[in-house]
Amino acid sequence: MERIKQALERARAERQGQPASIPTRDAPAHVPAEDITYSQTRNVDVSKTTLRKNRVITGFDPCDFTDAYKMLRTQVLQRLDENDWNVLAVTSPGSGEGKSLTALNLAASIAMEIDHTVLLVDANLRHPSLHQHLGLPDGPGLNDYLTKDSPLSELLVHPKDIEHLTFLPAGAAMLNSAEMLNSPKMTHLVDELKNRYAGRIIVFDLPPVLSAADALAFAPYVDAALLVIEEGKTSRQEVENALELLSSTNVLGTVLNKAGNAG
Amino acid sequence: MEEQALDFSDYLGAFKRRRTSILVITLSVFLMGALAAWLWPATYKSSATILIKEQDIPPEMVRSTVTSFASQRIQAISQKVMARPNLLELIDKYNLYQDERKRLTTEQIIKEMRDNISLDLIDANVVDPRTGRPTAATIAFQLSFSGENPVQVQKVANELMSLYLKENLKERSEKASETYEFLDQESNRLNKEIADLQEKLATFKEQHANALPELQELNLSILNRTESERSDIDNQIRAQEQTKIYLQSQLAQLKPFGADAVLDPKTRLQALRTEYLRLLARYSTDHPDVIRTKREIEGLEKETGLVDSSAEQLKQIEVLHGELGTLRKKYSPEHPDVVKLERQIKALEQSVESSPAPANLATAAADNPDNPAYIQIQTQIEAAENQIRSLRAKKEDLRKKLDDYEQRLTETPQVERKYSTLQRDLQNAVARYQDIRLKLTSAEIAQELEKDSKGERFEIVEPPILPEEPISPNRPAILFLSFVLALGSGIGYAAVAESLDSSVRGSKGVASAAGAPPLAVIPYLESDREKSRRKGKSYRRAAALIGAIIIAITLLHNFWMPLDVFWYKALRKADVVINT
Repeated sequence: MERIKQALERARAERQGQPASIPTRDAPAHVPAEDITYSQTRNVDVSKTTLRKNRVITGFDPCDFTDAYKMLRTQVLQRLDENDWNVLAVTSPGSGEGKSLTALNLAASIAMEIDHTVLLVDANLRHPSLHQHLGLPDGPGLNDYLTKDSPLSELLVHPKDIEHLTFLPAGAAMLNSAEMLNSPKMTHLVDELKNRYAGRIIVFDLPPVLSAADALAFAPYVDAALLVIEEGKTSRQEVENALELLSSTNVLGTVLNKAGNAG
Repeated sequence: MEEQALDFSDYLGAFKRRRTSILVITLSVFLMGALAAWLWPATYKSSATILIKEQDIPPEMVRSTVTSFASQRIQAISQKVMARPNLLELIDKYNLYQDERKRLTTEQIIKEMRDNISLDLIDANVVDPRTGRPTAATIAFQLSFSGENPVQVQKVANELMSLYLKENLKERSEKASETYEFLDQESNRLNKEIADLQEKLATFKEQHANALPELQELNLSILNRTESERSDIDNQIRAQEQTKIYLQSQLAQLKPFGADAVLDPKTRLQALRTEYLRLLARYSTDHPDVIRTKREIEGLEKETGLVDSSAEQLKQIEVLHGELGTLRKKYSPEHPDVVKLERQIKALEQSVESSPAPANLATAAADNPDNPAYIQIQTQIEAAENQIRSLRAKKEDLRKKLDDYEQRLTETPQVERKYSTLQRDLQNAVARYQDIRLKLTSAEIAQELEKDSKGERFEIVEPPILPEEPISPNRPAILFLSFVLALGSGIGYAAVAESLDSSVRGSKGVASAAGAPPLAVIPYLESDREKSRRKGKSYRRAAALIGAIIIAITLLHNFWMPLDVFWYKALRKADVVINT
């Protein structure tokens, strides 16, 4: 709580033009050491109906669905705290297995906790979809940061309904996403984000492990990974292969998604 | 998933997951089965029952020549009736298999028709009168034809039945007459054989008339008799020869010329000649005694016709030489007696030399013996000799006869062998002929039996009737089967799909695949749109189901049986089931 208060005060101070005490260790010169504050972030309105339609938990009253994410959140946070980690990647063996939604809902769920802030990054540069879940139009994102050096403050979005959640969209889809994710700029960004605020959890939504190299290329930069499995779709073989590929990363665990879906 | 035992909830889960596909498959299979049950064309069957009636007249009295088993005969008739031309004729006549004729070959249609004709033999356990053992005998058979048109089916069954009856009659009478003809031919052949054998036997008898075994006794007795006859003759010959020897010894004691011979001219002439020679020796030829004697001789010669034979003279010379020898011993050669004798001999010798037939004394003497006793004995000897000669000839005859009979007797055994062979052949042929004649008679009777249809025959017990109910298909059975099949295929599909599905299910699945259970299990959340869509779908489904049921009931009502009838039938069946 106190940390958030401090952060808020700091943000307010920044808004008033005061320079913030930025930790500048190892910061490359070309990376703009910009402050990420809600004041600088675009605040967007997301209607509850849209959220509900897109199955984002904040659109629901407490139920099995939301409880399941709370359960996940608790376990994830426990494990992250145990190891003092704060960068988490969400991926899945194949596409369409619900990793984006899981990442979003997990992030939202974590953001509900008072003492955590969350930065959700859509790192699926191949098929960016997170912004659609939030009902946001296509706009600039990570892509622009990496290719056009756009300042992060212009890119970040804060959905009003979800407190403590900042969202970095992917921007336009790109083809050489794996190379981009592996670029020094990206590495720097991760480092930067990781260390800027204590208590902030950064959640990356990654492309599928088995269909693209992106997840594998990006895996070394994250503290831990979460594998989403769709019940009745993902096969054992795929799960085993994905875990095999991610063996060098700390895999927090798996999430069984869409359980009980008939057909 | 494989490593873990499945529990009931897993099955339930699998069923829930796949209930749509299970339902679809089950329904469609059942619908197809039901359709097949409705659309399957009905088959009607019409049958005739034909009894095989035993022979009217007891077989102990008249035995039929058709002895094969009834079942065997029926099969044989079947083959004939079901022959291609017969069936083709039927197909043409009743216009059968119209649809099939458009797409099948004649061969296939014939085959189908054969399949549609069925023949069932009805057996009964009886005691075979011939062997006395219990056997299964065919007492009746059922002939049926099945097809789609009941009227046609009845007609064809009728026609088939009459074909069977006709064929049976034909077969039987043909067989009976064939038997008769065969036996008749055989008897003719045997008749001819007998005639041949008889002729052969006659010829043989003729050839070996003397050596026939029947004549053996006779030949033997003749041989014996002849032999005794021969020894008889031998005895006779011996006796005659003894007589001859005796006579010859007597003859040797007699002189051919006896002194006290009666002076017949011949004897006188001899005496005169002797006298003359004596005179010549004493006197000259001019001596009156000589002249006189000479004259006398000449006269006698004229009288008897005998010229002085040189034989006489040679005798004379012999005698004179004897005398001369005696005299010479006694006297000197100049003794007048000696001289006289010498002169005499000389004269005789001259006379002999002048005479034409020179001969010695012996023969001359034998020729003309003049001693009557001598002559008599000589005659007796001659008679004996004649006798012997004739006996010898007779003996020769007998020997020949004996040889002949011996020959016959040695020939007899060989002749007998051939003869008895011939006779045996003849006897055999005759026996066979008699046998065949007997059989021919019974065959003739059997033929009459068949002609009058008094033998075993087919009797129609039940003619083909118009079938009212189809015999197939068994629609309820097909329905039931398709229901079972539908259930089976639905569940089978689910089982196969489940076993092929390698996807991860449940936290157990995740645990086995990933090595640890999932951090969280997030239930599937239906969005509102999906929810409403699903609801709409189930409404539509229900509507379709109701519609299908209505259509099914309508079909049932129109095509199978009216609903009220169905209701009562169902009630009745239920009743039956309850009561039993």
